[in-house]
Amino acid sequence: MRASIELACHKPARSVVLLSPDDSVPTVGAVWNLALAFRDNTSSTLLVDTDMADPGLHLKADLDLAPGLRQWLEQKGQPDLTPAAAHDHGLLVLAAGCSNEDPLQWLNTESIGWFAPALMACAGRVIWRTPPLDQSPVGVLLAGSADAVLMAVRPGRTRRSRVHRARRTLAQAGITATGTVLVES
Amino acid sequence: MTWSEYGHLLLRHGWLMVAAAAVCGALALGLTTVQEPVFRARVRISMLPGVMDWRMRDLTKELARNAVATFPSDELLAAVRDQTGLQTNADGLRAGWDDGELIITIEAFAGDAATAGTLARTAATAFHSRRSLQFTEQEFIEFIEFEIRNREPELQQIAPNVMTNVLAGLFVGFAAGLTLVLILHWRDEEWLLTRQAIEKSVPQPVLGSIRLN
Repeated sequence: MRASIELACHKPARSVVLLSPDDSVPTVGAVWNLALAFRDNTSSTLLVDTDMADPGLHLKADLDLAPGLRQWLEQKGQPDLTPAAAHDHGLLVLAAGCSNEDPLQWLNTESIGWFAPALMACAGRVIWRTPPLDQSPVGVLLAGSADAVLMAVRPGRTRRSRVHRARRTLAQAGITATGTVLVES
Repeated sequence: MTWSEYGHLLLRHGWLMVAAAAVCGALALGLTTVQEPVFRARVRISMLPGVMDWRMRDLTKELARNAVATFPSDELLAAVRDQTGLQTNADGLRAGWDDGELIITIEAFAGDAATAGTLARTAATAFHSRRSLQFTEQEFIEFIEFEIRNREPELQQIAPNVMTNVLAGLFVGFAAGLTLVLILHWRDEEWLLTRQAIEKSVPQPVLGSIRLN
């Protein structure tokens, strides 16, 4: 998986965005397992939960919802961020910091311009969990600066029409997904 | 869809069409065995112009058409019931006119051959005698030859028709199977159930799969 992704994006995938066309894909599990696939001994992997409406990574990592990304953005990146480490897995996790909030309040083209590089400095690789594309354009904003953009599809659950709509949304922003990842039970 | 995709579709789901056709064919065959039999008895009455000229021929045809159009009249039905002692209605009797052969056909339908034969014979005789009387009164009888060709009706079992039923069952089953295959194909494509459907829907390559724990 890791080799396929890096081969497809022609460079080391330091920033990976996992997009889902709708809520048919359980992105928490998918991002987590993707991070496990990328895990190695030479660099750390940071998982960032940008779905402030429906956060979930903190549960997977057995961490508190806050403090997280929202608090850090609220304080304009001060003090320096220290993402919590998920026990036993060697992964760093930055929780969403809130729930039932519109992520666009905090994540926009201006904030992404500074916080994405800042988070990249915290770890060797950052994997972003984003809200479904039919609910929020945050994924599109993050995809613009990512090395690899992966479209997650769950066979039997994701509809073709939703995938086409997500593709059009990305195309309107001038973004082409690096590849498709099947999320299977 | 390309021809190759149609081929794959047939290979994958073709058995459904065959199975549906077989099931419906068997059902039709089963239905045939419980279907009530229907017999048809047919008596022919010729109605020829006495003189072969166009005016007489047209007049004969006109008389025959009128006679057939009003068949069976209420009086004729009552007479048939009286003479045979059988209960029949207008649906059980039918008349037709062959413009080329100049023949009126009286048909009777019943659940057994004997009843159908009796009804057809009685109806034809009653029809012939009433119309003969009418033509005599109208002074047409001298110009036409009006006679029953076969006193013994031609009998035929018209239902159940095993071949027709089985063929209809096979056709319906095949059509139903085809519909089912198309619905399954749509489901596969719309819900991205197969790797081919996914690869067709997304322009980017499928890089791998993640299994959820």
